[in-house]
Amino acid sequence: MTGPTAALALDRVSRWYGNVVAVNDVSFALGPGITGLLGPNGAGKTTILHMLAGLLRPSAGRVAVGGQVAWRNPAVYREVGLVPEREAVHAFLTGRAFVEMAARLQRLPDPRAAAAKAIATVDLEAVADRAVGTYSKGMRQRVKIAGALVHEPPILLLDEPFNGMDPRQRLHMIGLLRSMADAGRAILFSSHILEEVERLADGILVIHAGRLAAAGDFREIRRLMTDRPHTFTVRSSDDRRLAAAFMAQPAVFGTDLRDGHLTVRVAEFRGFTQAVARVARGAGVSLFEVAPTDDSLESVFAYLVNRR
Amino acid sequence: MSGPTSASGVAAGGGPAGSIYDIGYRRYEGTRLGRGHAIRSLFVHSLRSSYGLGRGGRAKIAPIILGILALLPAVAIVAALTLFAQFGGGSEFNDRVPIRYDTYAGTISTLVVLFCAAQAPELFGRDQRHGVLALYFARALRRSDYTLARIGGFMVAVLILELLPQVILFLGRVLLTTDIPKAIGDDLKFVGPVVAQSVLAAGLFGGVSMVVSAFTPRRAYAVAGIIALFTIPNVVAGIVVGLGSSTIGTWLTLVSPTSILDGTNAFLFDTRLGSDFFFVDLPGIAFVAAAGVGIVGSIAIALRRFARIAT
Amino acid sequence: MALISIRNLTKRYGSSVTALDELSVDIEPGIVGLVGSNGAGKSTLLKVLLGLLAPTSGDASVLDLDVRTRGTDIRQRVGYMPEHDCLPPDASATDFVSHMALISGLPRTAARERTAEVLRHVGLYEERYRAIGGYSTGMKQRVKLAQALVHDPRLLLLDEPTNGLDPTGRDEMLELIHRIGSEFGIAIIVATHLLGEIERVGSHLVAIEGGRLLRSAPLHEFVEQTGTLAVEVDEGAGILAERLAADGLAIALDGRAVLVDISDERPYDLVRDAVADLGLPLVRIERRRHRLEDLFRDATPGAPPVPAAGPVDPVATEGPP
Repeated sequence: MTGPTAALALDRVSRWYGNVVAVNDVSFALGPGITGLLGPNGAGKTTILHMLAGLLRPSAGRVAVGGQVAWRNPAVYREVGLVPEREAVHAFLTGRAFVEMAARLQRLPDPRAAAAKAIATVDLEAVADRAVGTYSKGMRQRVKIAGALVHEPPILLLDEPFNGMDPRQRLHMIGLLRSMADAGRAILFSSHILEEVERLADGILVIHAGRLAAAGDFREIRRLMTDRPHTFTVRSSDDRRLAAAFMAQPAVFGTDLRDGHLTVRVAEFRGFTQAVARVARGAGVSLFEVAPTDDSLESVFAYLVNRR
Repeated sequence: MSGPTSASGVAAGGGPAGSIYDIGYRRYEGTRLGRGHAIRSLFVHSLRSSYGLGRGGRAKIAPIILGILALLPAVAIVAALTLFAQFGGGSEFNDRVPIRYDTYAGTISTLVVLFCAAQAPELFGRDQRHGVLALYFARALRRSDYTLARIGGFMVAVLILELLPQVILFLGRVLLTTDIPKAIGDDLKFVGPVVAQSVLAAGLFGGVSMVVSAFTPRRAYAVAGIIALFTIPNVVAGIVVGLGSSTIGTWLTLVSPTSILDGTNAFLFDTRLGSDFFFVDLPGIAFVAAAGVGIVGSIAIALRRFARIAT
Repeated sequence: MALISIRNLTKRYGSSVTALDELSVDIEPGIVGLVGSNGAGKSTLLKVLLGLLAPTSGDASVLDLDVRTRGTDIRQRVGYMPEHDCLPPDASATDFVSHMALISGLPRTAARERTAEVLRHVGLYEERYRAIGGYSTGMKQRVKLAQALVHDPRLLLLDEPTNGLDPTGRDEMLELIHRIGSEFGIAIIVATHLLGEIERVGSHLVAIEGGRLLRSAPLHEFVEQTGTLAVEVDEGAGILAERLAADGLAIALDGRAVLVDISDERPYDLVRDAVADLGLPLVRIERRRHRLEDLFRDATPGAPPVPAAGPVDPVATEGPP
C-alpha cells in the first residue's frame, strides 16, 4: 500500500460550496510518518481530511489514497481510519458496542476480538462497558480513536484528536501515535495546539483560507522565509564586546543590548550560524546561551497566516 | 495605552503642551446594589423580552401582531362609538354591542393563548438552550429569584395584553358621550371585575405556559405543549360528556384553564354562562379557587424545577 | 491571609463518586493555573469556591469569606467564565454584557459605562453591536470574558478559556489574560488542560489528581533549569559529539541536539571552541528546563506528590519517547 505510490496524495484539489471555496488548488503527497495539518479556524482542514477519507468528493483535482481515487471507494475505507472532530458516537451505546459496530462495518472476521484489542490500545478497558454518554470528553476522543483503529488501517486521519484530553491522556496518545508511525503508518492530524504538533509531527502542512501556504519541516520553512530577518538571543560573558564583534560580520545587520542579553538581527541565517562560535572565540567571550527567537512553530505559523 | 499608574492632566504654563490620558483599566468604586436590584432588572428584562424588545427585529413580529389583534376589537368599538357620537346617537349602541367588558376576555382568549405559546418558550427556553443559567447563578441571584423574576415579568406582559384593550374600551365609552361624569359612574362598577379577571387570566395563562417552558427548552415542543394544555382538556371534557357522563365532564372543566377563566368571568361579572356550558351548577367560587390553585401550583412547580436543575 | 484557603475539602456524590478528597491548599494572588485530569475535580472545585455546591466536609474560604455561609457575597466579588457555551445568539454583546452587569448589582449608568470599557479592553469594537450568533469563536470567548470582568471582580475564575480557539486566537487570549493579571491587578485562576499555556502566563501552579492535591508551587520551581546543556548544530551533530567526548565531557545525543552535562563553567568554552574548530553552523546553546508535563508523566493517581525539582541525573533525556 505504501510503496512507491504515496500513501496520501492531493493533486490540484479544490472543493467549493456555491461561492464558498473551502479548498483551493491544493497539492501534496505524504508517506509513512506523522504530519500535522495546521491552519486558522475555517481554513479547510476538516474538508481535506474528509476528502482523504473518501467521504467528500473534490470539486476539482484528484484525491488518492495508496494510488487509488478515494471518493466512495470501499477499498480505501478499509485502508483509512478517520477520527472526526464532531461527536460521532451515539450516547446510549457502550464504548465496546460502538467499537464492535465499527469492526462489523469493516467486515472483520472477529469483531469482538478486534474491538477488545483496539480498546486496550487506547487504554479504555476500565470504562468500555459504560454508556458513551457518561464519558468525559477525553474518553470520548479515545473511543472514537479506538473505532478508527479497529481494522488496523495503515493510514490514520485525526481531526483535533487532543481536544479535551488532560496531560496524561495526551502524553499517552502522543506515545501511541509515535509508535504507530514508527511502525510504518501514515498519520495526518489537525490541531491548534502547536506545542504538540512541534514535538510530534515530522512535517507540517499549513492551510490558510483554502490554500496550502507551506509544507515540510517547519525549521526548513523558517529558513526559507528570507524576507523575515532571523533574530537570535545571546547571553555571554561580555555582551557589549560580543555585539561589537558581531557588527563587523556581514551576516549581521543589527544588535540590541537590553535586559541583560543581546539580541542579534541577522541578514543571513547560514552565514551567522557558521560565524558565531568563531567570532566569540576571537573576541575572547564565552557563550552561555544562543537561541533563535522565532524558530518555533508558533512563530512560523504566525508569519504564514499573517503575511498577506 | 498607558499603564494604570500614569495620569496627566492638561499642562499648565505657556508654550506648546501635549498630554497622554490614562485609559487603562479602572476599578469600580461606585455603589453595588444587592439582590433586589438584580431581581428587578431581570423582571424588567423578562417583561421586555415578552414583547420582543432587545432581541432583534424578528422576535417582535409575533407579539406585535398578536397585540394589535387583541386591541383591534376595542379600537373598532371606539371608532364606531366616535361615528355614532358624531351623528348624535345615544346609548342604544352601548347596550347592544356584543363586545363588552364581560365578553372581552373571552373574545381574545385565543389570541392570549397564542401569545403565551409564542413568547413563554423564549423566556425559560433560551436560557436553558444556550447555557445562560450558569451565568445567572454565578451571580448574587438565587435560583428562586431567577424563577420568580422571569415568571413575574411574563405574567405582567400577559396582564398588559388583557388589560390594555379594556382600558381603551373604557376610555372610549366614557369620553365619547355627552355626559362624561355619568358615564364614568355607570362604568365604574366594571373596573373591579375587569381588573380581577385580567389578573386571574394573566396569572393562569402565564403561569401554566411558563411551567411548560421551564421543562421543555426546545421551542417547538414547548409551543406545542402549551397549545395542547390549553385546548385538549376542553376537548376531552366534551367527549366525556358526549359519552354520557356529565359529572366527570363537569369536574374535568376545572382542569381546563380556558374553562376555568370562563367560569371566573361569569362569577365576577355575575352573568350566566351560555347553553354550551353544561356545568352551570358548579359554584362560581370553585372556579376562582381552581384558578388560584393553578397559579400557585405553576409557580411552585417552576421553583422546584430551577432549584434542582444542573448548570 | 491567602486569597483562597482550602482545608480537608471533600465532596462526595452519593456513596460512589468522590470528586474532592481531603483537598488542602492555599492559593495566593497571581495567575494560578489549575491543572488536572478529566474528572480530577477541577470543575467541582470551582463550583464549591463559588458557593454553588455545598462541600460534604471540610472548609474553604474565598477572599476571607466562608463558602458555606457567604456564597452570595463571594459571587458578588468573583467573575466566572464557564467552559461551555453560555451566550444567547440573538442579543448583541453590548446588550448582553450590560444586562449581566445589572444582575451583578451595578446601577444602570455604571452598567452601561463599564460594559463599554470592558468590551474595549477585551478587544471588541464595532462588532459589539451585532448579534452574538454571528461571532467567531474568538469573539464569543471575549464576550464570555467581558461578562466576567464587567463588575470589577477581585478574582476571576476562567474554565478552559482557550477552548476551540486557533493558534492566533489562543495567543491573543493568553495575552489578554496576562494583561488582566499583571496590569489590571485582578487575581486569576485558570483551569486548563494545556500546560504550555500555564508555562507561558502563569505564576503559580496547582495540580490536582483524583480529587487530591498533587502539587502546588510557584511556577519557577517547576520549570527550573536542569543540569543539562543542549547544543544544536544544523549539521555534524555526530562529529561534535565525538569531539566533545574526546574533550572529556559527558555527552548524549537527542535527535538534533548534543546534550552536555554541566557541573561548572567549563563546558561553555569547550563547546564554543569545538564548534569553531569544526566549522559547524551553531543554531542553539541552551540550558534544558523541566517541563510541567514531567509532573504528570511521573505521577500516578493516589500516589504521594512528586518532590520538588532538585538535582537531576546528569544527562536527562527529554523529548519524544
